[in-house]
Amino acid sequence: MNSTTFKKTILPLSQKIYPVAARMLGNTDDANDAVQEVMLKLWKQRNKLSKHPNIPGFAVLTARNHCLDLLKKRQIKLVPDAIDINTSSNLNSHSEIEWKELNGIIGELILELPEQQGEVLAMRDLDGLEFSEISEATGLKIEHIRVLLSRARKQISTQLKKIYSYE
Amino acid sequence: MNKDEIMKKYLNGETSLQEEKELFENSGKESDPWAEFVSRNKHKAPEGLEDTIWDNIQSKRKQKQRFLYGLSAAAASVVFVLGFIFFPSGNDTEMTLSQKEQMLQEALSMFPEEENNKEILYSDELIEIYVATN
Repeated sequence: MNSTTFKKTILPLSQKIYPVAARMLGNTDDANDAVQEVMLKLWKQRNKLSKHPNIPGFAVLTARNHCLDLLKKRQIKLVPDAIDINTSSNLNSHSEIEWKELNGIIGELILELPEQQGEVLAMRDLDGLEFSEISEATGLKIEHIRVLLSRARKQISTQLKKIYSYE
Repeated sequence: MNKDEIMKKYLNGETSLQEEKELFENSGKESDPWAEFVSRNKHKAPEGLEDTIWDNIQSKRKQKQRFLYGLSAAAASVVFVLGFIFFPSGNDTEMTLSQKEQMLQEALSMFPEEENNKEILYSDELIEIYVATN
């Protein structure tokens, strides 16, 4: 794969992997660095890459693995957990306080889901990935992903109805 | 397809990304907490990210090329120096015409003079019998 083809076909995938990195790492600076490093890895593998049947999925897989490695290193170094930029914003207004509460509630609900369900839900609804890309990144079959996603969405929906019907 | 049908498909994990996008856009964020959560937690790549990445790749590529050029130049220098050490210049070993003439005379002088004054008695392919005269 020459540099022109790489620029045309692989480089735009940075738009796809950025949300994955930002969600997993929790801040935009780390996400920027991670996406750059992932793209550099893909550049080094560009000759093998041209034969891959699912290049976007492979890019997501590389990004996910890279972020998992970074998170492991963070734990070893005892770096504090990433700050959620959406919850640390200005809390002066009433709506921002409500938003923080909502974000916390749903964040907890996602954490209570089985790990695979939570990850598939985030990859689909927050990162906007295709089923084939989630499949490549997680190693799960598409039909299994649909089942996990359906269970997760129904669980979240049921819990949210319960919480907000009392208000 | 009405909203309830799409929602049913969504909960069953059967909607396409486009249908999901429309579903979230048409949901009132205030009335649908999940839609608001998704909308506010979606991350979008900053503008110019691709250009930054491409510049970075090109910069690394040039660094690598410079390193390889440097390495090649160093290797060529080593070969050049080794060539001088193991294969000295040909002018030192080549004889001039006068030296060759001198060597020939030296070689001829090694033969005794009597061989030039011999009388051959018998000669075939294997032996030669002669009488030397002074």
